[in-house]
Amino acid sequence: GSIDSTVRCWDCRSRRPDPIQVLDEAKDGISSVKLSGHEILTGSVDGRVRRYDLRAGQLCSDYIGSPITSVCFSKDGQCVLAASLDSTLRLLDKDTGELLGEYTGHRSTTYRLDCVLNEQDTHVGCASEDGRVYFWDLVEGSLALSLPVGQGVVQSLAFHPRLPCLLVATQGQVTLWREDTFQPEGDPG
Amino acid sequence: AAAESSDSEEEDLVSYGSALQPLQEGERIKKPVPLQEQTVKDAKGRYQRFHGAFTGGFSAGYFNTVGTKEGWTPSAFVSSRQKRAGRTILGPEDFMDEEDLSEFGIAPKDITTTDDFASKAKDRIKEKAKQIAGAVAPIPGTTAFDDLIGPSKITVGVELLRKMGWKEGQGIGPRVKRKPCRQKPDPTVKIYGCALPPGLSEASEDEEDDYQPENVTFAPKDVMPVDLTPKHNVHGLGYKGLDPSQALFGASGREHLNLFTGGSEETSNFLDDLRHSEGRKLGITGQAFGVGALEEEDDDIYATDTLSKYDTVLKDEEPGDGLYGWTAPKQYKSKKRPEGEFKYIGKILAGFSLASKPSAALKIYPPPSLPRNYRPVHYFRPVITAGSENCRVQKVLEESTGKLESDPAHQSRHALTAAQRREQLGETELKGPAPSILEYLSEKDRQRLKEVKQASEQQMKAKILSQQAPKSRLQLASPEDAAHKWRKLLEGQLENAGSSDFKPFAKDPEKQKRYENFVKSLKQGEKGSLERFLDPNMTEWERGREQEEFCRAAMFYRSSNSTLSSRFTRAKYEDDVDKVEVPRDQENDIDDKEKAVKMKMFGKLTRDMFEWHPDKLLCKRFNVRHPYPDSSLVGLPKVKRDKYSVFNFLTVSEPTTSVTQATNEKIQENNSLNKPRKSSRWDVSDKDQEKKDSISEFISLARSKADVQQHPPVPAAEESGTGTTETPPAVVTDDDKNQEEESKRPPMDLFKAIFVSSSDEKSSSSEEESDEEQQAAPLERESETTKQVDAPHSSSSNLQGKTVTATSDSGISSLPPSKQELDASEEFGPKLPPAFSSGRSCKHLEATFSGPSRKEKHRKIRERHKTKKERKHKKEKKKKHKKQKNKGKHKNKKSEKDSSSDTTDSSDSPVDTDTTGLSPKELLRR
Repeated sequence: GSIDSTVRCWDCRSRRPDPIQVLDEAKDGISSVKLSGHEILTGSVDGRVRRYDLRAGQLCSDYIGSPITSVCFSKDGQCVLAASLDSTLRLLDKDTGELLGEYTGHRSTTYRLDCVLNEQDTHVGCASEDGRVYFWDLVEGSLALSLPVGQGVVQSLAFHPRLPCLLVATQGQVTLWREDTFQPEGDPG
Repeated sequence: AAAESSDSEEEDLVSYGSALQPLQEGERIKKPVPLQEQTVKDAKGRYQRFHGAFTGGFSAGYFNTVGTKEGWTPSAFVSSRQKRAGRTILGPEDFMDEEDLSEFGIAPKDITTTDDFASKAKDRIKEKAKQIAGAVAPIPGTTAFDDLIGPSKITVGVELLRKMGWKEGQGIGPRVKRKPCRQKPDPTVKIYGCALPPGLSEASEDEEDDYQPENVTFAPKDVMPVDLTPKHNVHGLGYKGLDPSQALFGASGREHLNLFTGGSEETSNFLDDLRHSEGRKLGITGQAFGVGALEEEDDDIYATDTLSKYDTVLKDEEPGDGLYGWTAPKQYKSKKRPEGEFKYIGKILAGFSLASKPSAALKIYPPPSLPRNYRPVHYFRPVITAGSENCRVQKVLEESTGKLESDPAHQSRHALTAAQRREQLGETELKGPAPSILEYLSEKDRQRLKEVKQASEQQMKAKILSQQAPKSRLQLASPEDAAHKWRKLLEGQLENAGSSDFKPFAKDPEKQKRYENFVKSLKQGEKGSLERFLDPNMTEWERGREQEEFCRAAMFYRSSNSTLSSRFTRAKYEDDVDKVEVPRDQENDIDDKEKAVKMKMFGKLTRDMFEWHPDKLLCKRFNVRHPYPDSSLVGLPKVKRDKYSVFNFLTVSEPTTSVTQATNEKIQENNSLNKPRKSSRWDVSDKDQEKKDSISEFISLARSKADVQQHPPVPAAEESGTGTTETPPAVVTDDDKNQEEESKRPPMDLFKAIFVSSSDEKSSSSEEESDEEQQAAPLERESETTKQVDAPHSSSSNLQGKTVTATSDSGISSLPPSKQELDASEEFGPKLPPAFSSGRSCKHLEATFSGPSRKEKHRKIRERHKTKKERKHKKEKKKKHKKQKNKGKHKNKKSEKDSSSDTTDSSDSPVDTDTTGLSPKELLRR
């Protein structure tokens, strides 16, 4: 995904320097690209979430309105989570594009902040510009947790695909968060 | 019969060439041999040796051996005493191979058309050349002798002419008397250009003899045929390249190969032609030995070289021009010419000759000498219009310039208009379009207009006169007032007015300047300064009028600017391209989408689906079968369209129209729902509320309940009295919530994925739909509900709410099934929430039309508009529901169970018939 409003697909196996396909449908910069088994999900600053379905040969373009900062698939591949600059996370049905949930409370107006789904798809998380990481209940949309991480903007956020384990980057500091009951392996206690 | 006909057809056919051999079965068609691989072979299939003895090689079965095994071995002496008489003279042909004698050989034996029998038309030029040669040759009539000696090949026409008394050199036609004296060129007649050389100016031959008897007639002069040979080559005019016949055949005997020898060149060329034609008769020409057809051209080593080709004496290079073939100046020759003679360097073109006299030199007239005090700068004299006030100034100016004259007619000569001048000169009026509208008016109308004008002017004058004293104040004030008024009017528009590109008074630069200043000042809001910019020479009235004019102009500019800018948009494509690549599908207008997003109606409205072709390799790497295996397209399919095609502007496709429809519907809904609609369960404010008064979940629940009661404002209150209120019962909350939840969360898969237990809850969602279609339910139930409603309705306090919720909670478990049914039906809105439009709902609907919802229908019949309020309730309940949900998942599940129990109850009554009635609505929503 590029600021020149294209997504370029390179073939890693060959050594060709030029991309094998350029997805230039976006009207503005691409802020986020995610892949599933047969899909390319892109979020663009033009306020659209585009899903290129390779298997079906279709392009689904969902209009959100506000510039998209981050997109991700749910673990079950049924939903698409899109964070946008109107401080809102939206959970969209992948097939129909319907709004399943809207999550607000954090602040995201300037920066490209990540959004995540936890390992069981029960919660939705997003970094915020107020130095916190917010988690919402996916179904109810209620704020489940706001995790104070630092003072500045939480720049990056990643959730472990299988374990309840969160990696957060803020202001030159990367922190790893685990559940309370977690005992580090090397730790004798 | 068919066979017969085909036979006959075959007989009728005429075939040319040799037929191709019929292809054998399974035989492949041979590929044609490309040109570069084709080789030249002779008749015997030998490569590159298709020449006979006289064309560069010897071939007679024995390659290059004169056709014998031995080759050039001398034969044994054979006494020819006996055969002496029969001794034959050997010609060149005796030494030739048969290839040389073949059609393409050097001496073809086949019968060909010779010159004698060839068309005479071709020889015309040759004839002419002969004649010219005869005329110009050093010994005149040489060619005549040639003719005498040479074989006569006189055509029939010539023979006929001769019989008629024609002689060679004469013209054809009746005999004429020759004019005794040739006219001298008239000295008065001007000759333009060069003078003709004397030889060409008149007929030359017969001018010598002055004596001419009276009774003698002469044959007409022979006409020199005009050379009309077209120019085929790309050489320069008059250029002749090396003549190969000259170079190879006869050039040796003569001088250098001088191509451009001026006068004698033509004759020599013609002679060459002659020789050439004679040489042709030998039958063997060209380079015989040495150079094969495929070999590089050698130097002509066999050409005889004579001493005359070389200079034997050391001297100036006089005979040659020293140019060696260049078409270049002849310095040597021109040097020798007398100085006065017209110099022409270079070759003279055929048909032209040098002029004897140089053309008269062009007289050059010097430009007029400038006056001594002339300065090349122009001064503009100030133009002063004649007016009562300006008169004095004008006079002064004129005096200063020394132009003042007593004669008024002279004075105003330049000030006159065209019409005035015309009048003075007594010219008739030009027939053209009338310069003013007045011209079109009838005399009477004009008169009337004039009167009106005069009257108004007089009135104005009278006014001014009457207000003479206070005028200075008043007149100053009124324009100011006007300015003020205008300023108010133009308040928001002045930013653009007066910008450089709008010049309403471009014709009058002074006025334009004033206008610009005016606008500027108006923008800055200076009050008094407005007056400054107006012309001080004007009367007050004029000033006022101009101010108004300016204001109007500013206003007009604004409006035109905005209208124009609203009508034009930037070009999408370049102008010089006729066709443009247009993506076949375009993401359609975002306006509708924007609306949809605002209403949080994601889904169909915000989604665009396109056909998209992934790259083949991309599919391979993703390990996915290519969706369009046949297409070579990559990306979105594009269509080449005419740039100005209508289709480019018809991008609003079917989905958009449906969108607008839907949005209209939605907007209506939204209007009716106003706020509650927007605050869905995802709303933050609710959460905040929740947090703030965190007394208990119940309190919030109660509050939301209270909200519900508040929101249906008037009609609910009215109906509370009657006992048949539309307000849903408080007890219903749980079911309500379920219902709302169902409506709000369309894709069941998601929830299935999360909550495995929910299997039969689908049905509940459809119950809403069923409401609309069902028959009225007994009214008693409603009254029952209203009774319950009354409690929360009376007051909206927290405490009350608490109690209500308590009852509601208990009610969930304690209420009889019938009651629950009723409740469920009660709260089902008449319409699905907009988000609920997935395909799944349809299926559920068919299964789950329930009886109790009939009451809903009944209600609808009674009062349509109430349904809207219902919807409002629904939203409220949604809120409530959310809050309850916040309590935890357990609660949620519990409610689901409840709903499921409801649906199971309700779905007892099979209502298949209503599904058909439902579909249009369903369709509309899509």
